[in-house]
Amino acid sequence: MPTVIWVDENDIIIRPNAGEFGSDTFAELTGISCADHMNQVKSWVKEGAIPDDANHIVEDFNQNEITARLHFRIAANALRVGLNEVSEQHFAKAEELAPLDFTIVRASMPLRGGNPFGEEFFDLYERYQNAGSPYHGIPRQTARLGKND
Amino acid sequence: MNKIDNKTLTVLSDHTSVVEVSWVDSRPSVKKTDVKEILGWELKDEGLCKGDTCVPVPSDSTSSSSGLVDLLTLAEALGFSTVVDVEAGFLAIDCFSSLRQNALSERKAPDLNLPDLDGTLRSLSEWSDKKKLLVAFSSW
Repeated sequence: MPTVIWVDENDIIIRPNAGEFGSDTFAELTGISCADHMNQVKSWVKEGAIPDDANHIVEDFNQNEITARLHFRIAANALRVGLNEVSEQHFAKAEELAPLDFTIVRASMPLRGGNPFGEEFFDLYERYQNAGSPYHGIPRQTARLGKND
Repeated sequence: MNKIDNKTLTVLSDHTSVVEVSWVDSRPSVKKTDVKEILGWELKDEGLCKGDTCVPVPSDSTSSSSGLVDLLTLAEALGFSTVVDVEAGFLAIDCFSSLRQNALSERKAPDLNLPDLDGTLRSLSEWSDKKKLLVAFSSW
């Protein structure tokens, strides 16, 4: 999901990361309209208006999420040098530690021979939504769309 | 499958280093002179030092006879989380924890350096004094 961060003239993060889109191509799936965000950006640039959700406090990763990212890095590098079995072990460990994290699970799909737009993605998306859409950023009200929709 | 050579260690931090390694109780030991390249901190008598800042390290992390140092102990002294794969010779280090925590608490954007479409490194500070939208996305 494209992620946008607003940074002001003093390099201060005015609005932390949120999933936003440049078009409505995936609006049916995500439930997020691009127009709302574009209007907010225009108001910020022209009038300095800052939306209420900009005050959202983003929590840091927990230890499992940090460790998952380290396993992911080893997995990606092992794959790059042809150590496929080593790579798969670390991808699996990363997924075990952060099973709902798109940057771990979905990002590894094409590297593990899966399809990031296929059945496994919709399975992940359903589990993610059922868990309350956990995200280190501004929470968004996403559309409920299962793999059979 | 390629052959695994665990006499070299591939260290994945904010960059990638490949160094000679000795394994002591499944822990990687490296030459003291390689520490700065790997961690970005220089090992001195005072501890691990960068600029005017030094962090003390446990005295048993270095072996004066072999000239090798326990890399995991040094990483831990800096507060870095690690994952090591002894068999494959990989060590991943999370050296971004303080940068991340500062950005989250102070809301100050780190001065990122990333290549543009032509491969030229560009930094966020090039657009200081302007409002910026930082957009991150994956290409599949």
